[in-house]
Amino acid sequence: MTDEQIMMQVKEGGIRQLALLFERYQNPVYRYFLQTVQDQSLSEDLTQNVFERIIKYRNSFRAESIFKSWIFSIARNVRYDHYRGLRSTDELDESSEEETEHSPEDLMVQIEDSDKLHRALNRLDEEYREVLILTRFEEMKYKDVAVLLQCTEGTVKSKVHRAIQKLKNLYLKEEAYENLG
Amino acid sequence: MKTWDENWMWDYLRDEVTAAERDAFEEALTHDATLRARLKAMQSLDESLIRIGQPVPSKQVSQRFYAWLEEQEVNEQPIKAAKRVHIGWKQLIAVAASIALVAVFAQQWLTMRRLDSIQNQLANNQQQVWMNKLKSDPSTSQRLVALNETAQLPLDREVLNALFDVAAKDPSPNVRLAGVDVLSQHLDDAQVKGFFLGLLKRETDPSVLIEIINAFGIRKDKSVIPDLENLMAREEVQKQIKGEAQMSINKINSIE
Repeated sequence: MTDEQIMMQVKEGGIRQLALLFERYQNPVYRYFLQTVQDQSLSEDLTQNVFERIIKYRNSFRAESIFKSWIFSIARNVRYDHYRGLRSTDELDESSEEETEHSPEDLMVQIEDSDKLHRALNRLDEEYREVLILTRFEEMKYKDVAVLLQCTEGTVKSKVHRAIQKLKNLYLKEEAYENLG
Repeated sequence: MKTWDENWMWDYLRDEVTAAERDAFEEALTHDATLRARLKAMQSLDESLIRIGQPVPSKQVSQRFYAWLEEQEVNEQPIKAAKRVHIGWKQLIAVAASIALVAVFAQQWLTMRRLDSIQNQLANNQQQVWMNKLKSDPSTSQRLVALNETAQLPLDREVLNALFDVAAKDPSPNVRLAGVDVLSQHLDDAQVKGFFLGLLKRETDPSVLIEIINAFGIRKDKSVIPDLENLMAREEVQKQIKGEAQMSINKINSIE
């Protein structure tokens, strides 16, 4: 049974069917939070919050909706609402200092250290980390991410490209720090 | 000649390029070593990313969710019931107090029945989830988790068949081994014993075979000695396994 068919059953009152969606999506949703908020306990709380909102807002799910995009749009709202309670939106949207961009040739680097890459990913601006999580970890297509982020497919694509370049820059910096140390 | 930058290669790895672009790129790869090296670098980033992106939440998330779900179901039922009672009250406003009292008791009884039914359905639902995961999850570690959960379920025919399937057919020897380990606790059951005897003839992984042989040794069931001897007689069976079979036979005979 597809996610969408199960969700329609939930919408029509089959609340226990949510268990199936929970089993399918608890890990992806948790990973999304862990990579964006970087706090295990908070990520678990926010994951629970997502499934609670599914019930609360089940009537807004349409038969033609893609469940994966829908649940991640709920996850994004949960994350924003959490931050809204903690700090201003300006602060949330604040970008860190622009990284110096290298040319593609400079950036041909063989990734050999997952820890360094993880640190680099954590230092990436949230908006870039988010598109990498959605397109790589959750294997969402650019067009589906565009629906989720309410932007064009081209915007998603260029954001992904910038994310990759920035990630590689940060990885190289991690290597440089280690060499200095 | 077209050049492919790293952004394009990333899209290629995400399957976000057209079929014609993909064909042209793959054709160029066959005779361009630099291009292959650049693609390999992108692949190393791609694979490293997925390696760091696989954490799973603690079991508490699952426990908390199911407790909450149960609460939701219970909460929704009385709302529906209340609506029905409300309609009934409008229609039957003049009914005597004694009938109302009976209705309240009946309502409570129905609610209890409904709660039982919901709990049973939730348990069945969870059982199906684990068994589906056991059967079809592509991740070996997830199948092991599902096996562990399935092993906690009451051993009915459906659970037993799921365990037989995993012990006989799972592509990973580690999962098959874990399946045999779970089943060996039920070796008193004639079906399990028959299944193990069949597996003794078919299984090729040494660790799984040794687990079966040891399980027979522990049970000290003399009727399996001919099957162990048949195993020892097979040319293709490794020496170490034959040694284990002999030790189990000795153990079984040692009761006399």
